[in-house]
Amino acid sequence: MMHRSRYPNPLICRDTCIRRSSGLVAVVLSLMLAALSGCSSLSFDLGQKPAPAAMAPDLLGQYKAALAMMAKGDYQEALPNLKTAVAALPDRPGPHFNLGIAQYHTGNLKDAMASLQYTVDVDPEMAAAHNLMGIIKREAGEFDTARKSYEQALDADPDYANAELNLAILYDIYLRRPEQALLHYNRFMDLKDGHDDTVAQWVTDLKLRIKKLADKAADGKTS
Amino acid sequence: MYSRYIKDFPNDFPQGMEARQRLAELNLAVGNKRRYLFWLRQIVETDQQAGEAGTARSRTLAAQASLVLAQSSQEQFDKIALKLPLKKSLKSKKALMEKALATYRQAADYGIAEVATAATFGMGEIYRAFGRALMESQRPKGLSEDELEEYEILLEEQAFPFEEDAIAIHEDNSRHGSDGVYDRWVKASYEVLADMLPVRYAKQERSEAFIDVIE
Repeated sequence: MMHRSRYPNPLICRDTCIRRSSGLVAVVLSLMLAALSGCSSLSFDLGQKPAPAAMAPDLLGQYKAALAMMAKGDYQEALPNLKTAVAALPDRPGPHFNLGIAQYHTGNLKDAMASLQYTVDVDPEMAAAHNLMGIIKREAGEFDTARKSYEQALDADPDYANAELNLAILYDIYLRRPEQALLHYNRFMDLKDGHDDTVAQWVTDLKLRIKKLADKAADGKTS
Repeated sequence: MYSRYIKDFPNDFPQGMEARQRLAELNLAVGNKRRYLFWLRQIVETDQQAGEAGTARSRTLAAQASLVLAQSSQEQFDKIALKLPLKKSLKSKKALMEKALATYRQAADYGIAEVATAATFGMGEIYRAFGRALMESQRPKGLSEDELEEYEILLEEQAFPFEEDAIAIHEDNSRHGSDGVYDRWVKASYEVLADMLPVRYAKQERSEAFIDVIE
C-alpha cells in the first residue's frame, strides 16, 4: 500500500530538533546549543524536518526479510526481526505498525494494540494503523470504539478504502444500521471504481433488505 | 455430608443450595452423570419452590443448572437419527426437541446474560439440527427416480421452516452484541449465521498484510 507519511511529527522532533519555536528564541537557543556542543555550525535548519537516520545495512536486511515473511503470511517467523527493528529505531512508525500487524495475526492482541497505539502516537495520519485498531476493537465487541477508529482512519486518509469497507461491515452486521452501511459500501465501491464483485453482491443483498424493511414499515402503517 | 445437611436443615435455603451445587460438582468430578443431572434438577426445583426467598446466587445456580440440563437433552436429541419407520423416530426426536427447547427457555428466562446467550444459541442449533436431520433422513425404499425427486422436494419444504427459525434465533442472539454483550455464544451465533447466510454474514474486514516502509 502507499502510506502517506507525515513527517515531521512531535515525538521525533521532541528529542532531535527545535521545531515551531519563535524565530528569535530559536536562534538564541540554537546558538547556545552550538556553543555548548562546540560545533562550528548548526547541523539542522530550524523548522525543517530531521532526516531519519539511515538504517544499518544488516538491520535493513533483517527488516526486509521480515516483510517478505509477512507477505507470505509467516507472521510468527517475522516477529523477532520486527522486534529488533523496533528496538533499534523506536521513532519509526513503519516498523511499529508492521510489528502490530504480526502481533495481531499471531493472536497477541494486547501487544498488537500497544504497537498500533504507539504507531498512531508517532504518526497520527497512518490510516492503516487506525483501521487495524478498529478491527481489533470490533473483534472484542467494542463496536463504538471500533467505529471511531475507522472514522479516524478516514479522517487521516479519506481515500482509504479498507476503512470505508470495514465501517460499512460494522454498520451492516454489528450495529444493524443498514442505511449507514449502504452509504459506506457505496463510498467503498466509488473508491474501487465499482470493481469489487464480492462487495457488489453484498450491496445488492443489502438493498433488498432495506427495501423489505421499508415495505414492512409501510404495511405496518396501513394495517 | 452435604446430603445429610440438606436433610437435617431443610429450611436453610442458601446453604442448602450450595450443598446441592457441591454435590453436583462432586458427581461430575467422579463421572457419575446420572447423579450429576439429578442434583442439577434439585437445584432448579429448590430455587423454583423458594419463591421470594430466592436470591441472586440461587437464581444464578438454577440458571446454570437449567442450561446444563438443556444441553444434556440436546445431546440425546442429536443422537436420534431419522430412520424408517420415520413416524416413530420423528416422534422421539420431536419430543426431545421440545424438552430441550423448554429447558433452554427456562434457563434464558432467569435473565443472566451469559446463560441467556448460551441458551438462545442452543435453541437456534436445535432448530438447525432438526432441519438438517430431516434432509439427511432415511429415504423410503422402492421409490422411482421421479418419486424420489418429489420426496426430496417435499423434505426441503419441511426442513426450510426449521432453518428459517434457526436463522431468526441466531440473529436474535447476535443482536446482544450491539447491546454490549459480545460473549462466546454471541460470536458463535455470528459464525453460524456466516455459514447459513454467507452473503449477509460472512464478511471479513480488510487490512494490510504489511506495509513496505522503513520510516
